[in-house]
Amino acid sequence: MGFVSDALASIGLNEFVITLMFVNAILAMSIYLTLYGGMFSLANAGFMAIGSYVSVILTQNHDWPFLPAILVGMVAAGLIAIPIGLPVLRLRDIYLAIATIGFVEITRIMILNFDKIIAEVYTRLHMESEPPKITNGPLGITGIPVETKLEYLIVTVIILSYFMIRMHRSRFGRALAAIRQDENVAASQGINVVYYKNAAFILGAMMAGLGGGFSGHLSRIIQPGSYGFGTAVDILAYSVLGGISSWYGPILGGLALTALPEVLRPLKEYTGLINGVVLLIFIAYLPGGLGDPALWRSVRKTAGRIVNFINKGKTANAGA
Amino acid sequence: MLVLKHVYRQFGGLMALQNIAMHIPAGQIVGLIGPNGAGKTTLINCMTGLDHPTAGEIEFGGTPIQKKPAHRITALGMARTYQNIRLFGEMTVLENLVVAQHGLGKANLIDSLIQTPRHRRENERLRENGLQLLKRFHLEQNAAVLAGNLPYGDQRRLEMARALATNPKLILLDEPTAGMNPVETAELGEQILRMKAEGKTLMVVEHDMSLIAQVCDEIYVLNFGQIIAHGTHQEIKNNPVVVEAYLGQEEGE
Repeated sequence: MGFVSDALASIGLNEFVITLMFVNAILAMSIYLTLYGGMFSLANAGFMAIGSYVSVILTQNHDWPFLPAILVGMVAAGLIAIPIGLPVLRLRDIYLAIATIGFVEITRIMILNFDKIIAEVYTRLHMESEPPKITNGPLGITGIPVETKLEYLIVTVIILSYFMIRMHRSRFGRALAAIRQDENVAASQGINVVYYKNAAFILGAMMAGLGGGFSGHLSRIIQPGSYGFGTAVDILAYSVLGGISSWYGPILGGLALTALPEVLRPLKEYTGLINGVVLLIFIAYLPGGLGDPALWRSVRKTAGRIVNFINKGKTANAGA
Repeated sequence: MLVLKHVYRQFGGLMALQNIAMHIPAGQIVGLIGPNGAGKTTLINCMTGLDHPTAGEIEFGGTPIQKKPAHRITALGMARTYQNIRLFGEMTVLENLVVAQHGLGKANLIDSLIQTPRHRRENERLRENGLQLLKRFHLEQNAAVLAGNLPYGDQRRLEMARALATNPKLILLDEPTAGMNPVETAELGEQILRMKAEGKTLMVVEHDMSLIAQVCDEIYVLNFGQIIAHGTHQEIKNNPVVVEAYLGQEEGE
C-alpha cells in the first residue's frame, strides 16, 4: 500500500487530493440522478453548500460528532429540496438550468448575509441578547479540523454505487428513464411524473448535501464564494467528462477531473490550458464520456488484439 | 364507458373543439374520422389527460376525469397509442412493456434502491406479462432489441402491446395504420377485433376507411372541431354532410 501511495504522490496525487477526488465523485453522482430523469438541474452546488454549512456549524458550534453532523446536513439539503423542486421542476431543459442556477446564487447570498438577517430579526423582536455569528459572512468558517477520511468516502461511494446499480433495474429507475425519453408518454403509461421527478431531485440534493458535508470537513475553511456558479458548472463538467450513459461514468469523471490539474501541476502556467484542451478533446471525440460502455468494449477489444499480437510474436519466436 | 358532454378546447382564439358530445359504449369499437386538422388528436389528448378541456365534462366509467392528470386516468383503465410513434427508443422492446406496467407494480423507492425480494418477484411477474404480450404481437424474437431500432411495422405493433400492458378497459388508437401496407392493416384489424372479443372497449381514430369498415360498430365524424355526423358505417357513407367534408374530397382525387 505504501508503495502505491508513494507512486501516486509522485505524480501529484497525495492523500488530500485523492480524498478530494472521491468527494467530487460523490458530487458527480448527485447530478447523475437528475440527469437520468432528464432534468438539467444545476442546483446541486446549492445543496452542497447547505450540507456543508449545516454539518460544519453542528460540529464547530454545537460540538456534534462528525458522522451525525454530516447526516443531518444531508437531510437538511433534502428537506430544502422539497419546496424548491415542486415549482422549479415544471421547467425543462435550459430553463430549468437557469432557474436552478438562480437557486444556487440565492443560497450563496443567503449564507453570505445570514448573520445580518438574524441580527435584523433580533432588533425587530427587541431581543436584548447579542445576535450570534453563525455563517460569519464572506469570511466563512475557519479552522475546521479535517475529519473526512478517505475510508469514509470509499465506503460512501460503494454504497451509492450499489443504489445506482439497483436503481437502474428497478421500478423507480425505469420510471425515470421513461420520463427522460418522453415525459407525456410516461404519464400516459401511469407514471406519476411529478412524484418521480421530485424524488430524484430530493435524492440528488441529499447526495450533494452529503458531499458538501465531507468537503466542508476536508478543506479546513468554508466560504460562501466556494459554492457559486463555478461549482455548479464543475459538478456538471464531472458528469459530462464521465458521461451519463452508465452509473460509473460520473464517478470516473469526478475522479479524473479533480486529479487532472494536480497531475499537470509540473506544467506550471500551462496547467489551466492543458486542462481545458483535455476537456475539449473529450467533448469532441468522446461524447459518451469516460464511462461510455461502448468505449470500454473497444478498449477491451484493442487490449485483446494487443495480447493476441504479443502471444503470436512469442509463439513465432518459440518456433524460430 | 366514456361519455363526453359539451366539451370545448380553446387555444387562444382558436376553437379546437366545440361542444363535443360523444358516447363510447362498453364492449364496442367506435371510430373517429375527420380531415387533417379536424381536432382528432386534441380530442384524444383531452380524453387521456395530456390536455384538459377548457369547458365541459368527460366521464370515464362514471368518474369525472376532465381535470385528472394522465397517470390517474391510466390507473382508471384507459390506454392509448400515438399517431407519430412514441416508444421509449432507448429501452429494449421488453423494457418498454415492463415500464408500461408501472401502475400494476407496487414497489416503492426503498424497494427500488435495495432490490428487496418483493421487488424482484414483481419484476419477474412484469417481465413474464411482457413476454406474453410480445408473443401475442409476434415480437418475441425482438425482446432484447432497442425499440428505436425496430422496423416501422413492428414499432406500431409494439405501441399497441404497450397500450395493452397497462391492463386497460378502454384503448384509444390514434391512426394505428399510418404507414402500413394493406396486408399489415388487415392483420391489425384482426388484432383489434381480438381485443374486442376479450371484452375491451376501443376507439379508433383513422384515415383508412377499410379498417373503419372492418372493425367499427359506430362512427363519429369530426370537422373543424365539431361532431358533424354519428352513425354506422353505412349511414356515414351516405351522409351528404360527411361526403362533402371528408369522403367527397377523397373521391374527387
